[in-house]
Order: sequence, then C-alpha cells, then structure tokens
Amino acid sequence: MKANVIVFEAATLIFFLIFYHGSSRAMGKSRNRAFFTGALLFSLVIETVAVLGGVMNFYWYSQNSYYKHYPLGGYIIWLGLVPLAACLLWYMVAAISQMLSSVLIPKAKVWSKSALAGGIAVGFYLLIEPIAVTNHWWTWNLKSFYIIDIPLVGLLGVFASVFLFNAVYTLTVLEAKDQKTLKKFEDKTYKRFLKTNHHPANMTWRQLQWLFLCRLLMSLVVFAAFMAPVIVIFWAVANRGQIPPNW
Amino acid sequence: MANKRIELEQYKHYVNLLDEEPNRKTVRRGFVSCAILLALLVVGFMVLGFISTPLAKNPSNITQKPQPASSTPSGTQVPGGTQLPSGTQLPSGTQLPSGTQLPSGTELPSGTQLPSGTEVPTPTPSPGPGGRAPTGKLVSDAGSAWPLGAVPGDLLAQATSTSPTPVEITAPATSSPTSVTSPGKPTKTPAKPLPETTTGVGNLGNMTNGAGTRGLAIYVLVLGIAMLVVIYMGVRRVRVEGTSK
Repeated sequence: MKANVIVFEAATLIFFLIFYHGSSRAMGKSRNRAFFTGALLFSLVIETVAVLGGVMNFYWYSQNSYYKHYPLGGYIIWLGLVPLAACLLWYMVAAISQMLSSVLIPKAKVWSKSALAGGIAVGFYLLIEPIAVTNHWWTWNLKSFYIIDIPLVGLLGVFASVFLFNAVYTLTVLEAKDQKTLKKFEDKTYKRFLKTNHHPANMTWRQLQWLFLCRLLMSLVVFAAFMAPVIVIFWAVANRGQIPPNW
Repeated sequence: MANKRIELEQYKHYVNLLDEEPNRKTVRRGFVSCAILLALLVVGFMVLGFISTPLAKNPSNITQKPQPASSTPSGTQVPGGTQLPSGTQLPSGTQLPSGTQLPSGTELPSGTQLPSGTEVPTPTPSPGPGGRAPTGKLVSDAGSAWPLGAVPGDLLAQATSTSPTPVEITAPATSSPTSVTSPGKPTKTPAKPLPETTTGVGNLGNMTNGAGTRGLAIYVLVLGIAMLVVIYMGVRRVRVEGTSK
C-alpha cells in the first residue's frame, strides 16, 4: 500500500491551519507571525539550495513530470522547486521543538535550549524521513553515508537549521539581546540599514522584525559554512553513490 | 498630559503587549493544543509506517523510478511464471525472472536481462502487419480477464498491474566496464564504484526485512513512543505550572 503524496500534502495543510491557531495563542500573534514568516523563508532557502545544489540530482520532490502515477501528479502547491507542504512541516517541527525546549528547560541558556530543540527536531525527522522516502514524497540521491536510507547530511542539516533558527529567534524576538561578539559587525551593517543604534530591547517591533530577518540571513551563511565541509566529508566516506541524472 | 500624549504616540510603534504577552492560561492552552496536534502527527506517521512496510521491503524501492500504472515502460518487472503471448514487444530494460517462457515472435530489445533458464525461441519470420493472435493455450491461461480485442502487450501490462509483489528484487541496471589489457603492462584494477543503493545496515529494506519483516514497524513504534513521551513531558510540566500558580 502506498501513502499518496496528495494525502501527505492535504494532511499537512490541515494540520498547519490548526497548529498556527494554537501557536498564535502560545507564542503571541505577532511573534508567531514572525516565527512563521522566518521559518518559511529559512526552510525555503535551504531546501531550494539543496535541490539546486545537486542540479536536482541529489535531492528532489515528487514532480508532476516524474510521478505521473499519482492522481494529480506530485505535489500541488509549489514555492519554486520546493512544495509548500515541506516548508510547513519544517515550521511545525521547529515551532513545537522551540516550545518544548522552553518548557522542558526554562532556565537553561539559549544555546542549550536551541540544542535541545534541534535534537527534538531530529527525532521528528527520524520518524518522518523513512516513510517519506519509502513513499517517494522526496528522494535523496546524494553521494553520502546513509543510515536507513537517510543521509546523515540530511539529519545534521535538520539539527543545524533548527538550532540556528531557534537561537536567532530567541536572541532577537524573545529575549532581544545584542551579541557581544557580533555587536561591532551588527552596528556597522544592518543596524545602519535599519537607521537605529538601539539595543534590540529598545527597538520598535518593525525594527525588531527587520533585525530578525537580517540575523536569519546571517545564520544562513553560518549554516552553509557548517554544512559545506560536512557534505564534503560524507562525500569522501560515502556508502552510496549517485544514480546518473538520466536514470 | 503632553508627556502622556507623546508616550501614546510612541507606543503605537510598539507591539500590542496583549498580543505579545497573552495571559498564562491562553499560552498554556495554545501550547497544549499544539502538542496534541503534533502527537496526532506522530501517531499518523506511525500508521503510515505500518502501511508502508510492504513497499519498504524492496531494498531498491528508494532508488527505483516509479512507473505509471497505465503503460509498460522501461524497467518493468515481469512476475515469475508469466507466459507472454507471441508477438509481445518488451520495452528496453525489462527484467525477466527465471521460468518465464518466451514464445516465438517476442522481440527483445537491447538492455533486456535474461536470467539463466529462460528459453529463448529461434526468431521466426514476422507474421505480417497486425501481428498474430496468441495461441489458444495462452488465451486460456490468461483466463477470463483477457479483454476482447486487446492488442499484444496488454497482457503484460495487466500482469504487471495485478501482481503487487514481484518475485525478483531488482537493483538499478549498472553497466559493467570492460577492461582492455595489453600484454606486458601491469593490469590496473578499476576503482570499485559505489553502489547506487544503500548497502549494509544503512538500507531501509534490510531493516524492514529484519525481525520477521517487522523491523520498520518496530522502529517506527519505538521512535513514535519516544516522541510521544517527550511531548507528554512538556504538556505535563505546563499543566503542573498551571495548577501551582
């Protein structure tokens, strides 16, 4: 029996609508809106780069041209090369991981909370990935080291992305702090763009949202810098090769 | 008064604090509803894991290109014991299990893999345009499902669509490089290419076929319960906080 991609997409959309309502109450409306927008953009950029990075040959989603045996082809709603459902799933996992880590270790430091959130997200994806790849919701073809047909690169990517996103969200929106090590850099770059030199705690909400976006961009660079050598290392010790593009 | 007006003027640029800091009861309810929803998601994935087990048993399912159900494209698997009517055209890449009888007139394109024991008849002259109807024996073997006026190839398509579990598990076709050795020079062994399917313990099919073909079900069950416990711990802590304050 095959779990159709349409079922996954429809279920994710319904779950998202209910989840968004709940998280608006749990986080606050504006904060949740910022979290959702940030998560959507953050995951979209990472997944688009993942699909494009292998020129659509080491990671891709079910497309209509490829999965014609599905009633409606592959996914219905796309954001470029990535289906909306994949981004919404990432948002839900990241949000519940953030909430759970805040509840489970409320007095811990930001980094510990973010690490716990990353760990919880990996747990969720360890459950999701085998079912997704079995049913061809998405396909990994990266030359890498695989465990139960999931590349370790993918799991590390989930951990790193959720860790970074939650750290940035907590440091910017929830606790609104300046990072000592980054203060000089931030004063010269995006604070100049935002035309303010205030401490984040004294910024208006609009400025804080822009600061959140700028810091997310910065964290994307950090994410890329972390993932690039990881991909190279796993490429070297791979236990599975790539299938040629014309397979 | 003037100060108050300035303060209000400034305040409108800031967030609505009631929106941002909802009361604890609202936060608690919001969190619990999110947690219950994600618990349902986990349960849903556990169920999907159980129903995906037959698919995951095939070790090369992950890297196989899914086929449209309506036609017989390249890479089709023919179940064991299938008798092909004469005149059947096999697409390239078709893999035939041992025991398949090939009648005269069957066209084998390049790339077709024939296992040992497959009887290949000597090619006979083409019967002419329109092909030849299958023999009575083959029609009777096909049973009442043989459609009236069906063209050659329909039986093959029917056979592939009606039998859910192919006999032979196939790996994607790999081309074996032919090495030319010249006398006098040391032979170089070509670097062994990495397999195109995950090998060893990393293969999901291996895990699924383990523990009496319940490997995936056990994995999904254990991981799902672990995630449910983590979610429950969060909900419990929030509830305890709610009752204590």
